[in-house]
Amino acid sequence: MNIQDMKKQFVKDLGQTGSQKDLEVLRVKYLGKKSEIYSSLRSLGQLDHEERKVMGAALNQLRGEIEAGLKSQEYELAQKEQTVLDFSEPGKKFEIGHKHPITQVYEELFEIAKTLGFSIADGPEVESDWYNFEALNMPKDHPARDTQDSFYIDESTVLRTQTSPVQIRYMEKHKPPIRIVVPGRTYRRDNDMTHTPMFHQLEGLLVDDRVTLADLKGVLTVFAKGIFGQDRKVRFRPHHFPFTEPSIEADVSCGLCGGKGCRSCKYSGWLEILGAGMVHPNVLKNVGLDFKKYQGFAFGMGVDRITMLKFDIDDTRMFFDNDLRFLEQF
Amino acid sequence: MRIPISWLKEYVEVKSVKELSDKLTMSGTENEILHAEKGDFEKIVVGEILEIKKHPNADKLQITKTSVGKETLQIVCGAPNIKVGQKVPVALVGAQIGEFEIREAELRGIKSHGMLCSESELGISDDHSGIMVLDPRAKVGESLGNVLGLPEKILDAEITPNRGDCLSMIGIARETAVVTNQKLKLPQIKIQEAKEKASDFLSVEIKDKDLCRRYIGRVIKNVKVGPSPQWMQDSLSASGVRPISNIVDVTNYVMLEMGQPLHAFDAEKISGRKIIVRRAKKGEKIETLDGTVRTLNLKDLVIADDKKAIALAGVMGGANSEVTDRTKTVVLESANFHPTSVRKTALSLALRSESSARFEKGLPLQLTEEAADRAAALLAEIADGEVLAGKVDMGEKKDKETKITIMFNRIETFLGENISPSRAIEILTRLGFQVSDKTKDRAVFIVPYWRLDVSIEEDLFEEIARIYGYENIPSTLPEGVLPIYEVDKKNEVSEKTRDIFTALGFYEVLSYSFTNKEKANVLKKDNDLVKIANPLSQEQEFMRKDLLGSSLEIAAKNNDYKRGTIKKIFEISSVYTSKTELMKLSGFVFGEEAEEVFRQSKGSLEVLFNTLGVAIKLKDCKKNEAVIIADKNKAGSFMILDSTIMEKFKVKSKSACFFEIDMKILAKAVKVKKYQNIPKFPGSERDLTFIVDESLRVEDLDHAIGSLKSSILESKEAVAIYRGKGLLPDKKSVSIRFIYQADRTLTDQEVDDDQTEIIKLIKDKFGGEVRGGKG
Repeated sequence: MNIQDMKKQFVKDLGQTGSQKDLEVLRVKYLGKKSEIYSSLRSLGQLDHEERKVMGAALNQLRGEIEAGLKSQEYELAQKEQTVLDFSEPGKKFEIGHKHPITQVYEELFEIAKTLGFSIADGPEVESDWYNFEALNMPKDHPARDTQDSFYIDESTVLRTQTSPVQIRYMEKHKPPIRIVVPGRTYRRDNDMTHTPMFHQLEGLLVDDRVTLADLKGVLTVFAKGIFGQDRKVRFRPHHFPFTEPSIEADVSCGLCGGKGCRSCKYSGWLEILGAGMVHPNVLKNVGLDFKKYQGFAFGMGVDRITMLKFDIDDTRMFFDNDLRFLEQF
Repeated sequence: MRIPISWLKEYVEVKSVKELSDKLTMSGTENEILHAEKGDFEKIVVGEILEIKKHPNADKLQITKTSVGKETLQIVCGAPNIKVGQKVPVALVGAQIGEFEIREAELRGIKSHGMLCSESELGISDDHSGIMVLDPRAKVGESLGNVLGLPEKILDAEITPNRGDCLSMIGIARETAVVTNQKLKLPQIKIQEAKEKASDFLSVEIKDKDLCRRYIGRVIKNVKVGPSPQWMQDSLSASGVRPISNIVDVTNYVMLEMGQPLHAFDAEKISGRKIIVRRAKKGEKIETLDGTVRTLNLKDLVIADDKKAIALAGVMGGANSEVTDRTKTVVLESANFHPTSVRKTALSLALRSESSARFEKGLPLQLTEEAADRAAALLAEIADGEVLAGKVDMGEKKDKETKITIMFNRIETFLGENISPSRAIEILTRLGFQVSDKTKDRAVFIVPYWRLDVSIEEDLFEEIARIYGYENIPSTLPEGVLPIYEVDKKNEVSEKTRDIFTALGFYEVLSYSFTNKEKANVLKKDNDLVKIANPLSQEQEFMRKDLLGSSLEIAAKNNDYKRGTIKKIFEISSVYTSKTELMKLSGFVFGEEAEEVFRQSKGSLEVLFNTLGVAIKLKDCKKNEAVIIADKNKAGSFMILDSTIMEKFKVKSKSACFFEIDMKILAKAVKVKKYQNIPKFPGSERDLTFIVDESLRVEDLDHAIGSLKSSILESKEAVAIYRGKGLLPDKKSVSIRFIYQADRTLTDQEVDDDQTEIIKLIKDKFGGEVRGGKG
């Protein structure tokens, strides 16, 4: 076979290879010890000088071309073989855990609180009547105690009904300026779809010599939008708590209907998320602060409720049922 | 409190219920409109069907021409009952039907400009069989509301505990007048009194003046007991009070109108025609109007005659003095009882009522008289009664006037909005406050008698702000010096723990702090438990002393979840004793393979401690239980649970591991990690596997190797334990990884020498055979 024919034949053969194995067969056929090129090279010596020179160069060039052809086809085939991979095959299943949705919301709230300069404080859950009620301007037989049906340990000890007693404990030990948030468990004698006997609050307290109701609005807006999203609206309504004056409640616009009104927000377009107010002078008096000099505000949010709203959970009892099929969703 | 709008309109004009509802909510009387689903027939008018044609493209639809007065509309309708000439309700474009707003529409190619309505679509009844056909006399184009009468609209308001004055129609009317800028019209009270004097008929004695500050008795003779007029029955029903008889209805009506609870006695049943207000005697009994005999104690206040108790003051009347069909003369009681006394009696007898709810919040003394007069006038009017002249009026007559000074400059420093003094005065005046004195810097206000809740300057700020509108006060951020940021280490470590444990596959659980006695104290170190005096149930009676009970309970609950795998849960919560509350981290790992359960549990703790920069050690203390040592301190316990306890708590897994760590101790041990120089010279890693007696502890093996004090051995760690196939039953293999490192390049020879020494030691000391090493 002459060199041109050999080259043609090789190109044809190469075009028909579909795998590395086919290539190996070609390699043997064209470059192996039994190949025509090999034997031609071996028999070069039988030719005369000029012929040998020409033929040698031609054969070597052919061999180079064949090697290059094989190499490039090898790359092509490798490329093809790679794209054969099925991307719908599964990834490795890592067994990861899940944070409870309530603590996820707490962690978000802490982040917001920190950016506003609030430290995190805590206090006991088994609390004296004084800290839980009296120091907060709720003397015995105050009608507002009705809204907080308490668990009693004995006559003067309760399971705290709110995180507010930590306000008192903190102010007893620290001088203004004060900025704290207090997470924790709280307890009231309720049990239904929207109430569990144990629930979670986040208390906030800020006391300084120049604090206004407008500041309270600002801080609560940062919290509400931080947790629900910047596109949500926030509104403030007057309310009543014994330990703040004035007292307010804050609502965010309903996320389901965008504020138009739906079943979820009882057609009001708003969802209540927290209570707050300017610290009552009696509370400041009770911790020995000069209420002429200092003013402050406090707020309390129901973290369970906020978590329900955020994740669209309709039964608060799910939080403490600890069904792993519930927890793995968060 | 339910506020029927039609009733409210007697005192103040209401233009738009929706607007009123919003304004009341935004000024502190949170409410919702009841019966809102019925709508108010806005944009729904009387139409007359002029023409009916078949729809070309739909069998069930017809095309009507319907006149609505000013124009004639083409409306497509699917109801079978329509006929030319009928008067029907037409919802115009823009009307609200249920949740839908009527728009121009095309129904199968034919334009429709409105909708003919059925009774169910209008919310009038459930009848949706066809279009509602109106009285032929109805005027075309007239609003449907005028033809049918508007459905009664009721606001359901939540009255905050401080605003007892708003537990009345007049109280709400006062608020309405202020927030909607309308005039308040109070009822005119005119009584035609008889010649006979009430004081000649009745005497009143208040024995316990601390519990009853004022008591007024009025006497109405010759009443005709019967049903009250329809308007009164409607008002009561709309307010949620059942009409009974004209006498009782008047007392309820005035209570709802003015907020002062009243009571009517049958005068003939009052022995000696004498009313005595006194504390009950111990064990004194009274049968109340609901037919129950109640046993009283010294704290309860009763209304008595000269022989017996005839009513529970402010809570409920007695059966023995009840007004009946035969009653001729009525003694009307209007009194001011002590809030706490009424509250306690109502609570202890489980008899909360509309009446006690109002007394509990406190009532002004002036109201006692106004309400007595109002009720007497109504009894004369609707029961043909003869009101005896004057009233028997005992006790104080008026509350002390409250005066509050407001400093104008504080309005801005408190509210953060510069509201001018004149605006502030205007708001307060409209709310009934009177200026008694005023300078450039301050004003003194007299609080209206019905506002018992207002006593300090801050209260006035609230009044100003809520009428000015919270939405009109800006949102700012606090100025001032930032306090020093205090790091709450426990919280910080808790957050890190959650991150690490969830990465390791643990699910975070949160369980109740209280449980039953058994689950509250599974570890039983002692019996110092915190007991709840009034638990919701025995299942929630004790505060947890450890978290094991809850963990087992949760494990059992999730028996069937991902069966056969290792499941891991953790909780960070407090545990309680009578003296302390400690925040604990608990972990519970459960599954089928004991060794894997143990390894994952211990391994997770090692990752946690390592990340926190704390050394961890488990020190055996008793069978299947170890103490967790954080650096040098006892931080908690670690245990393998036995099958007895697992069965008891119905956990189906074969094995489980539980650990509990004191977060305070862990947080204290946390260290910031310091950088260690990375070795400049290559190290050498060798593994050796020893076959040793089962009884030989890994720790002892480790100590022995350590005792050689090799200068080039950087670290050694047991990396695998094997038991079973290929080994005798009392043997195990322990693989140890050795890392050699020095400030120079190590030669193979010196590492080999060290390994040989170790192999010899293990053989000599423990009889351990090396199973083959690799370099």
